Amino acid sequence: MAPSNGNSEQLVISGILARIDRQVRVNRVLDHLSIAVSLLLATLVSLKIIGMLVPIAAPSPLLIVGISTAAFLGFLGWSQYGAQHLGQAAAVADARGNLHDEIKSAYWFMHQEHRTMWTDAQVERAALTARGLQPKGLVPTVVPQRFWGALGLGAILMFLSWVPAGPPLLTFTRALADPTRLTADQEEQFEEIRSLMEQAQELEDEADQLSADAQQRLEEAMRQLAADELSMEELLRELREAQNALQEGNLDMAAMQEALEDLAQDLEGNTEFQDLAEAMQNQNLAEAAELMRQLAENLANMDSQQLQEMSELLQQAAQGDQQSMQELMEALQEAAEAMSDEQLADAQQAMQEAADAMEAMSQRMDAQEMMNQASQQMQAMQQSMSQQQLAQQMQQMMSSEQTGAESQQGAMAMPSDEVQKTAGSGESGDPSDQQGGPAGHATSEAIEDAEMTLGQATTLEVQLEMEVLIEDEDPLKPEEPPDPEDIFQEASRQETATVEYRSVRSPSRYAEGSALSVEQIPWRYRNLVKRYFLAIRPRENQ
Amino acid sequence: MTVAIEDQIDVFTEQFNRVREEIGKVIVGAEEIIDGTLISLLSKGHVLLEGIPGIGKTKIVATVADVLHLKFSRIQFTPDLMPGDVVGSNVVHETESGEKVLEFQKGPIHTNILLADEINRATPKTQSALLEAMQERTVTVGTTTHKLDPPFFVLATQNPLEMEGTYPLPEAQMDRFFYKLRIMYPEPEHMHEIMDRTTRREEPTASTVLDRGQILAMRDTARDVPIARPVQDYAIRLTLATHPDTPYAHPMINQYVRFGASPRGTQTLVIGGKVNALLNGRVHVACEDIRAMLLPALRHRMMMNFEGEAERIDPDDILREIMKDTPESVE
Repeated sequence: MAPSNGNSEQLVISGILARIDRQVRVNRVLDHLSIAVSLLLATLVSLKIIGMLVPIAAPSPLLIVGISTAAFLGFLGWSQYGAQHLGQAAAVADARGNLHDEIKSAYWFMHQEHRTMWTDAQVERAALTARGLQPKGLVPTVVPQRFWGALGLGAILMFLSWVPAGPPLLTFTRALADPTRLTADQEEQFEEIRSLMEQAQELEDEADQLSADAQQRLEEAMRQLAADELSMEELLRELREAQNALQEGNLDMAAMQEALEDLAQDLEGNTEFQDLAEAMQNQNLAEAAELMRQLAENLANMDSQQLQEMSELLQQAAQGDQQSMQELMEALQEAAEAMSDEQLADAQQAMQEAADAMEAMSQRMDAQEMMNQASQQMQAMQQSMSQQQLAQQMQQMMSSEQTGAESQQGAMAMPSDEVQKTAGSGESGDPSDQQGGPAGHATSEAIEDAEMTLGQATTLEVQLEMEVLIEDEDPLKPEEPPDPEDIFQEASRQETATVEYRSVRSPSRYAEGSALSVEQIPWRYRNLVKRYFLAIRPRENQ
Repeated sequence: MTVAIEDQIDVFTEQFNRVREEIGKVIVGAEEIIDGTLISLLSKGHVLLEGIPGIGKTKIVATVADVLHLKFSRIQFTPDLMPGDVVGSNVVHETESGEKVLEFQKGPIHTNILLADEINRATPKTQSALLEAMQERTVTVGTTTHKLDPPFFVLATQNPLEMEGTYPLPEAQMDRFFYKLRIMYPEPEHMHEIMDRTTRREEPTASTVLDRGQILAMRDTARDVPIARPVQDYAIRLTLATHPDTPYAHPMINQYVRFGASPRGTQTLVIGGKVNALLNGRVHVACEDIRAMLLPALRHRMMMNFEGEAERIDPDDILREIMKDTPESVE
C-alpha cells in the first residue's frame, strides 16, 4: 500500500482552489466596499439633513470622505494580508458544487505526511473533479445588493446638494429649559457692556488694556456658555472678575480728581486763572484745556508783573507730587519757568502742552466713566442672573416639597387639607413658614443683593423636641396572654390534671412521626427533584 | 492502486446490496432499520431496536441472521433470567475414568448474532452480564475469560410502552449500543404487502448470501476509509453540542438535557459515516455521512433532565435542531 506521488493532482487542486479563492476575495472586497460606501453616504446624508434642520457645526464632507477612505484602505489591507485561505476556498467549492466535501477532504489529505492508498485515491478522484470545475461559474463576481442601496443614498445626497442652503428649520427649544441660557434682557445688557467697553477703548489707549482684558474674559465666557461648557455659577464668577478688572482704573481716577481739586485751589487766587480753576474744580477738563489755550494766546497782552504772578502761582501748583498727572505738572512747571524768564513763546508752548495733557486726562476720565457704566451693567446682569438662579432653585424646591407632601399623604394618609396647606406655603415662598429652611433664602431682599444669605440653622434641641417619644402607658394596651407552660404547671401544682402522665405525648413524637413518613423519591430522580425545587424556590432579592 | 480501491468499494457495495435485497424478500419497508442494522454489524457495533409489539422487530433480526452465514442465538429476557443463563456456567462433568471435573458449559452468548429479546425485562444483574461481552468481546466466568468469536453482534429489542415489571437499561449499557433504531408502524401500502406475504401457505424465506469471512473483510474495508480533519471536526462539534453548559451547547440542550453524548457517540458517527460513505461510492467521509448517522447514533446517548422528561421532549427533535444550527465548517 505504498502511496502514489500524486503531485500533478495536487497542483490541479491547488490551482483551482487559488482561482476560487481569488474570486471569493473579489466578492468579499466588493461586499466590504459596498458596506463602506453605504455607511459613508448614509453619514453624509444624515449630516446634510441634520444641518438643514438644526444649527450644527458639522465637519467638512471632504474630511469625512478622506478619513473614511483611509480607514477602508487600512481595513482592506489588513483583511487581504496573509496567506491564501485555500481551505476555505475548498469548502466554498464543495458547497457551491455540491461535491460532498470531496475537495475539502482532498486538500486536507494533500497536506498530511501519512498517506495511504485510500487518501491517494481520494485526491486522485478530487483532482478529476477539480479539472471539471469552473471557478467563475462556481463563484461568479456578484455586485452586492447593498451596492444598489449605496446608489440610492448617493442619489439622495445629490438631490440634497441641489437644495439651496438656508437657515435651519428648527431651533433649539432647550434654550427655555436650559438654566444657563441668557434671557433676552441679559443678552441686551451684554451687548451694551460690549459697546461701552469698545467706546472706552476708542477713547483712551491706557484704558485699552484693562477693557480689552475684561472684554476678552467676557467674550470667552459667552462662547463657553453657548457651547454649554459653562455653568451659571462659573458665568457669575467670570462676570465678577471682569467687573473687578474694569474697576481697577477707579483708584487712579480718584487720585487724579483729588489732585485736580488741589491744583484748582492753588490757581484760584489769580484772576487770570479764575475760570480755569473753576473748570478744574468742576472736573471739566475739556473746558479747562480750552481756557488754558486761550490763556496762552493772551500771554502777549500781559505785563511783566502779571506774568510774574502767574509764574509764581503755576510754580506753586506744579510743586505737588501728583503721579497721576505728571505730564500736566511738568508742562505747568515749564510754563512757570518760561513766564519767569519772560520767554513768551516757550511759555505758550508749555501751556499748550498742559492743555493737551488736560485733554488726555479728560479722555481718560471719560473712558473710565464708560468702563464704570459697563461695570454697572455687569452688576445688573449678575443680579438678574442670580435672581433667575434663585427662582429656579425655589421652583425646584417647591416641586420637591409638593412631591414629598403628596407621597407623605399617600403613605401616612395625612388629611388632604393639611397637605395642601404645606404645599401652599411652599409656593408662596414665605420664609416664615419654613424655619431656617432653604426656601427662606428666596426673599426679595436676597434677590436684590444677589447673595445667598443663610437662614438661622435648625438647632439640635429642635430636632430632639420633634423626636421626643411620650412613654405614657397606654390604658388600652391588651394584656399579654399567659404562657401555656404556666397553665400546665399550674394544673399540675393544683393536682387537677385529668390525663394520665403516660398518655401525654411528647411534642417530639409528632416530629418523629412526621420525619419518618416522608414520601420516597426514587434514587435516580433525587437530584432532578432537588434541582427542580431549587429552581422554583423564591429568590432572595424578590 | 486506485483500481484496487475502486474494486473494494464495488465489492462492498455489491455485497451490502445483496444482503439488503435478500432481507427485503422477507421484510417489507423498514429499509432504514435494515440499513442501520447492517451498518452496525459492519461497524463492529450492536443495535437496540425499539418499537411497539408486533411490528417485526424479532423477525428483522431473525432474517438478518438467516441472510448471514453466522451462528445465531436468541435469549428471551425475563425477570428470572440469570447471568449464568446468558454467559454459561461451570458444570460438574464425569470423565471416562470416573474423575469428576468442572467443565464450562457455554451459554447462548457464545454466538455470532445474539438476539436479546425484550432486554429490559431482565434484572440489571443479568443485563450487566452483557456489558463485558458487548464491549470487550469476552466473557469471564469465575477466573477464566472466554473470547467470543468475531463477529459478535448483539441485537436487542425493547418495548417502549410496557414499563410495568421492566428494568430500564442503565446509561452505561445504553452507551454500548452503536445504534438505537426505532421501528415505526408500517405504512398502509406496506401493510398490504405484509398481508400478501404472510397469509399464504408458504411464507417467503431469505437465503444466505454472506459468510463470516466476507463480513470481516467488509469490516476492514470500512475502517480503511479516511476522514479529513474538517469533517471529523464537524462530528466532534455535533457531539459537543449535546453537552449542556458548554460553549458548543445548543440552547435546547441547555434547557432539556442533563448529560450529552460520550466520545463513543463521536466514534459511532465517524465509523458509521465511513460505511455510509462506501455505500454512496465515496472514498472519503463527508459531512453528509455524519449527519446521516446523527439520529440513531446519539438519540440514546443523551440523558434528559427533569424538564425534558416532564415535557416528553424527543431527543430526535433536539438532534435535528443541532444538525440545523451547527455549521459544517468554522471560519
